[in-house]
Amino acid sequence: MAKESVIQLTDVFKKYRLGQMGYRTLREDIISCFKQVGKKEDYFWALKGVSFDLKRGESLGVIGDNGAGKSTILKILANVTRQSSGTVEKIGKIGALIELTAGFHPELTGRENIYLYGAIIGLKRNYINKRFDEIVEFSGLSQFLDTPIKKYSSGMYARLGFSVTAHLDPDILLIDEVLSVGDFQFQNKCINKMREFKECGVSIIFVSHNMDAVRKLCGRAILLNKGVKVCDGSSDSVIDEYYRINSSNMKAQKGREKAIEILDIRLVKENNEQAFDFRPGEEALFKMKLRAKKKIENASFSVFIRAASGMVIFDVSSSRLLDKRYSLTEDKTLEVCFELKLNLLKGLYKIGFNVSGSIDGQPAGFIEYMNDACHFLVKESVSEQGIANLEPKVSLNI
Amino acid sequence: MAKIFKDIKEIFHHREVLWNITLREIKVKYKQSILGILWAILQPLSMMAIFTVIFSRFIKVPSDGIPYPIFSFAALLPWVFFSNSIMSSASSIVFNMNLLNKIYFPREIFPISSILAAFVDFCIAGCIFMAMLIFYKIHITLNILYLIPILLLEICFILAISLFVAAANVYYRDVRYAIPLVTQLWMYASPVIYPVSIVPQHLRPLYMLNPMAFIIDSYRKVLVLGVAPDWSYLGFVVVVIIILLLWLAYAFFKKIEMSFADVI
Repeated sequence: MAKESVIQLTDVFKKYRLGQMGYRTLREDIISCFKQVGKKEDYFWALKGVSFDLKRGESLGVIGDNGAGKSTILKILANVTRQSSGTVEKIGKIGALIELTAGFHPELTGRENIYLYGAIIGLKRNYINKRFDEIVEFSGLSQFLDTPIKKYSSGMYARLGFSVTAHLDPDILLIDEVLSVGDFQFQNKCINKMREFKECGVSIIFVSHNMDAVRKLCGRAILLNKGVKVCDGSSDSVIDEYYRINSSNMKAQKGREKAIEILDIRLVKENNEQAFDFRPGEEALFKMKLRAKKKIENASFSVFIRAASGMVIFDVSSSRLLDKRYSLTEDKTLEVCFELKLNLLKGLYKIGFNVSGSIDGQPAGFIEYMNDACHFLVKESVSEQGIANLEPKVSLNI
Repeated sequence: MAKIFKDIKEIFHHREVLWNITLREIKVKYKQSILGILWAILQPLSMMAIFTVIFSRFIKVPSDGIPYPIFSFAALLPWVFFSNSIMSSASSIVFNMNLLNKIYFPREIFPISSILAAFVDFCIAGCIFMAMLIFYKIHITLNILYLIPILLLEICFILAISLFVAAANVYYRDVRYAIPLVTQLWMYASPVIYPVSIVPQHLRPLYMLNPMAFIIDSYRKVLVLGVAPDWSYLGFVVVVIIILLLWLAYAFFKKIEMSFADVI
């Protein structure tokens, strides 16, 4: 292992039995025993030769689609399962910030669950006694402490769980998608707590679908795709790569047998130069070049913008703006341009669009839909906090 | 051999988890029931009542001259402990799969905590039994101290079976369904409702190979008859069987422990 590394994975493979993943009944086994003589068993490779290391005090984000192998890596590191081949070296005490509800029992009260969950993640009873008030205060649930937690909301579950975990004292912290629940304020609290861990020199491995959180917390990230490490580098560059792969996948999918063909999509500045960074309040032009492959009536074009968390913060359609729908004849090429004033705060945003209308006189719903057509970054922050106002205009050139 | 000591040391290291999960088992079991902890004594008491009516009123089963309620309760005490432990251990690992999937501590903690929770019921029922001994004016002798090694022996045996069924149930859910049937049959193969003395002499060696037969018989001897357990008659063989079984079961459990998360 390289010096200063606390975790080193070298060429790690993990296979699961396919089809028989999960338990069996004796009957099935007896039957398959007869059937499978001479037949090869099917395997599913969750990890295919993954190698990476984690330096002391470093925070590493692990991103990728569902089924990419992210959780398998955490399971191997948490000693829950063992790799099929390859080596895993670890130095120091590993703490896991697991899916928070796993250690709870719904019939028990908040107070009882604090002790139970604390013990499961490795806190000593004396230690919990000492920090009990702190834990309760952090969770903000003091008035529900003696209520069975089956009456809690999912957000309250998460808050209770995280409050206990926040008092963990590991050398390496594994975090598995914990920020997906809880309200905005609490999510911020969690991120701050994790930063505190980081400042104390704890090395962190953070698995998440929340790119904003990965960016905030981790300097470095790795991208997994179907069990293979695709790239490894600064979290900004890895997240960009992730979006790029995703959108090209989507383009490839959308190419065939569609009523509309996408010729070009770009986000440009007023000077017509393609751009990624914008200042708050700057004008952006979202331009699409499309070709109708069938006769489309009552067409309307929409764009929507999502924050990195996935929330749609803005959604507008041409029909609403112009109070008019369009008919497109076959093989007609058109350009749609949305003019947006990016009155947004600092952060990463994604633009998606859709086309609706009817084909051959039949309403077709969304003729084309792209969740993640392109993305952009708003740099610098303005001092005001507020609601985004994009002051939309649209022009059509058919 | 050194590995077993290491494993045991690891359980000790995780004793707080063990304690908390046991506490959870106990609390959850009685939290939502109106009779609560009363259920711990209701089960053996009602079985005792039924057995007494059927086997001492309707069918005259000999009871070595002991009042039948005492005779049957002395056997039900270890028997209910045994069967309840096995039953809850069997599903303990599967029930905790979302925990097991996320975090590591020795997996044997789950069946062990099931046994400890059943042991609490055993102790409560034991108090009732002591009251009954006084009520029936049974003469208690110093031989009652044999209860300690006998109880330890029983716990070892329960542990062996529990570790085995808990692990097997992860792979084959049939195990959990088979257990009520098997324990039912096992009860009739053990001297719960009848004394060992009615087992034909020539079948005795085979009969006494069942560790529960020796254990239940010893409970009766020590608690009610006030005599020492009958070690001479296969007693030591049973001790060896139990220790061997426990060792095998634990080794088996530790060997497949790491694949639980993959299979569940």
